[in-house]
Amino acid sequence: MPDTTSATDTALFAALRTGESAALDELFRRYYVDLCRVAIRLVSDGPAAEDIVQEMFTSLWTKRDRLPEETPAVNAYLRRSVRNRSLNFLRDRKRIPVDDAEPSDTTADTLHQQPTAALEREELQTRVNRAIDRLPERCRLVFVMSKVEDMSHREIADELSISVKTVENQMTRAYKFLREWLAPAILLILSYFG
Amino acid sequence: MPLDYKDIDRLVSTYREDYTPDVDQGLRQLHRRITPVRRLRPYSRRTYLMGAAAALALVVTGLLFLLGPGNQERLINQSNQPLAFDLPDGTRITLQQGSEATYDPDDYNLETRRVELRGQAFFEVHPDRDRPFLVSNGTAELRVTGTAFNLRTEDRTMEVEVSEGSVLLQRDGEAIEVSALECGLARAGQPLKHASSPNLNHHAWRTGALKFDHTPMSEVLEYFYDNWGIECTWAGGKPCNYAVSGNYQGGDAGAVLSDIAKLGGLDLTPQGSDGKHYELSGPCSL
Repeated sequence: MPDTTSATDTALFAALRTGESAALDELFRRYYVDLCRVAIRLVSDGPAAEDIVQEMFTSLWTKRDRLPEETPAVNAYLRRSVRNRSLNFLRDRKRIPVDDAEPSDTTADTLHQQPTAALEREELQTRVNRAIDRLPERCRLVFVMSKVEDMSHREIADELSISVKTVENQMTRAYKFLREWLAPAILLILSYFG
Repeated sequence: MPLDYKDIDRLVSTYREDYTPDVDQGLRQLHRRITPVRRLRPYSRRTYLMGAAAALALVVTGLLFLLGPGNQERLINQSNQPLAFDLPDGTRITLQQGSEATYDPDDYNLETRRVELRGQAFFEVHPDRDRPFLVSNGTAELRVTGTAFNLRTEDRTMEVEVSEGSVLLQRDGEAIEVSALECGLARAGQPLKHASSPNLNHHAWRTGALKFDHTPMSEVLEYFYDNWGIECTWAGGKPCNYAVSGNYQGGDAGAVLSDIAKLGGLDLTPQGSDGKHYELSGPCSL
């Protein structure tokens, strides 16, 4: 595989199965940042998220002869691998709560309003991160798996060993908190999203 | 004006989108992680030999299975190079020369995957959260769900060095988690030990790679013993514990040890003809 940068994901995956290390490098360059974001959304820990993704790529290499022969949706395959590893990480550390908790802090965000568009974007991003991070852990996981990772309520229930009804309750709870916490930034939100 | 569901959905789609790890640094880290494993991959003469030897070993194993006590499958490496075996669940064990692993084929992979090890081996455990992979040697037990590690057992000692994932080293109700690039030691009568192991030097019997960074000579010699059973004595019983730095790559452990001794201004003299016993002598600059 002389030029990996123009190869499709599926071609890279096939080359990886035959031991082409350049294909591994190219897949890493394409997806490392996105996959680290998938992991950090679940484990809330930057170094742990990067480690999970590193382990996933290491495993891709060491177990390449056992990879599926046909992988049309490589991105989805990699995201699912990272998501499963992230949930295992939480499970191994007993970080998936079995009951509800109160949010850590319900006072309104006190970030300063900042004038320029770039700073507004940055501030909005910070507000969103903080608001979601403040959700009780089980509520946060359910919400992120549903709204950011596009998992069905059934899938979430199975992964977290809870009922679909509990997933629905947690979603309602998450929306309630987020509506309250993001309300002070309504002007910022409207200006950003038009 | 209250936010509706759609507003919130649009907002949360940006959650953690500002997290931007360094890709080049990550790639360098990945290369460091997989380099020892890459050397074992196909196309090298050594791997072809391993494959041929594995086929022979399966025949030998079959015989030993028929003759062995009870219903135990015995995997033995009687060749003169590392030998890989695939277990029924897809786990691969690479046994060092002279090492032996046993498991019960009737029980293996039902509720657990239990293996006994005598000697040293590299394990690439097929992930299975529901069936923990357990390795024991009578002194301690290692619990794994899916990861790669080197394991050395000797008398009442179990030493694990993890290259990928993490394992749980346990004995008599005590347990420590050992993660990638760490080492754990269980020795009878002593507390469990846990240390950083960034260079994976306990994998050297298989990878041929040793890396030292201001490593005390006493520790360097321990690696030679742990990997190849090489024992060194100091002339006059006076050790010289100087710091060793550098990367070494090669199949002949005796030659590598000789190079390390020369760099420290010392001489390495074989004691006997088994290639396992040496004497170090010369001036100590410490």
